[in-house]
Amino acid sequence: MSDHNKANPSAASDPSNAFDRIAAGPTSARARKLIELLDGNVEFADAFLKAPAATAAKLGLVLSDEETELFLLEKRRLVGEQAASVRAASTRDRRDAIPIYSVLGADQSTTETKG
Amino acid sequence: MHMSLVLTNRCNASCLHCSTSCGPDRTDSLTRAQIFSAMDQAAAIPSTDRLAFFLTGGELFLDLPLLEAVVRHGAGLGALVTCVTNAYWASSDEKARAILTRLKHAGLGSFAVSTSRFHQQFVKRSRVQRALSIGRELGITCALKYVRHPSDDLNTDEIREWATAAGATEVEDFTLLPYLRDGEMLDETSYVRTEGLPEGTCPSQILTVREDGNSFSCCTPGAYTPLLSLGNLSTDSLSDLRDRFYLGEVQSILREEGPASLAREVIRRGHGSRLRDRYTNVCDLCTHLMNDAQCGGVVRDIAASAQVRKLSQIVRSVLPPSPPLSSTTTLQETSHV
Repeated sequence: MSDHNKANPSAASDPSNAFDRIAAGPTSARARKLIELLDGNVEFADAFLKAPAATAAKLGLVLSDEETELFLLEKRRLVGEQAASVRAASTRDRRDAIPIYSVLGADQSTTETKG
Repeated sequence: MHMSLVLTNRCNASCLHCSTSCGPDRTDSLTRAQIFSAMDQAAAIPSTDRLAFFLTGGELFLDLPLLEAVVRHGAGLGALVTCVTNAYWASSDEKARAILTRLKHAGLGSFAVSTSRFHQQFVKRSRVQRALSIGRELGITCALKYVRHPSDDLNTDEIREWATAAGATEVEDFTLLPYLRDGEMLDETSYVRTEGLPEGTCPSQILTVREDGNSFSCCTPGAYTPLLSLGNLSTDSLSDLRDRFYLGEVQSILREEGPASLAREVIRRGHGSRLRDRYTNVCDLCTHLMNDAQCGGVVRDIAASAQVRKLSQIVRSVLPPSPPLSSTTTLQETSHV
């Protein structure tokens, strides 16, 4: 039996709800609707990230070409940000690394040593 | 972009500690067309990272013509290509030299040899030593992957000394994790663990495509679980798998905060009894969380909440406060899909 529960045995489940916070701010009706649709709907979120305009259109929410491009740009920015995070993690602590990746270390010209 | 491709689960060995139960009777493999397609798709994705393919199995050298072709294809795309083997094929210097020369000419940049007390029931250490030695002779970077059992004869320094002398440029010494061949068990003394939650972020995420096309964000033993799943290459494009790899919330949390933050939330929600008192490392904790139904439920919940938070920020940044950007936009009453 673990002792971990002794740390806070009566803690209640209370995940933060981004929608509540967003809805309270000066957000457009379309944004509110979209966030509401995204809330807790993993399949929709995945589809939206993949194809924002088409996914939103299926739900009657029209995005302009400019907005669609902004969504895709933002997605690419986030992907780039996370790719940098992966690289940082790979060089931070290699003790637990899977060795197949570290084979790269000896002949990589760039800083990353694994994926 | 870096990608790990598990070409096959066929292996000449049936190591007790093999978490994917590879062996001589296993036949699942990616086809040549699937492998080349995945490599081509990876090469087509813009990235600041150098393209790199990590080939693993199973034992890839059982189908040397395919391995050679895959290495050549990857190298032809400008990628760094490396692979893992148990070195069973290094039965003589001449044979090892001939095989590694073929692969070097195909473009193999480096390789790793896996060994352990479990491997050595099938492949003698002398063959591992020979593979490393011939690799060095041919100028191919080679590493040793060593999976440690607490009662092994050689300690970490001794293994490192032996492997380096043989020709390894790098030695990775791993403690055993509790994900073994189907139906196998080891007693608790087989695992080196320390008390408490191991701190630290995920050190080893990589987009991994398995022999059945299923894709995951890690290939550590025990990591092939739904929570770390990215999809399947037969139904999703590699670009989609890549997006889920980078934008998936479970993956992001593991990268940015580490599994201990998830474990603390598990405790906060009253499921601490599901955790162990002792873990080997962050990977041990992570795979435990991902494989336990209750802990996994908490992780899923946290990830869903974080995803809404992230997407909400995107939506807010793109769709500004009213009035809407375009007069053609409409808002209709909708329901959840």
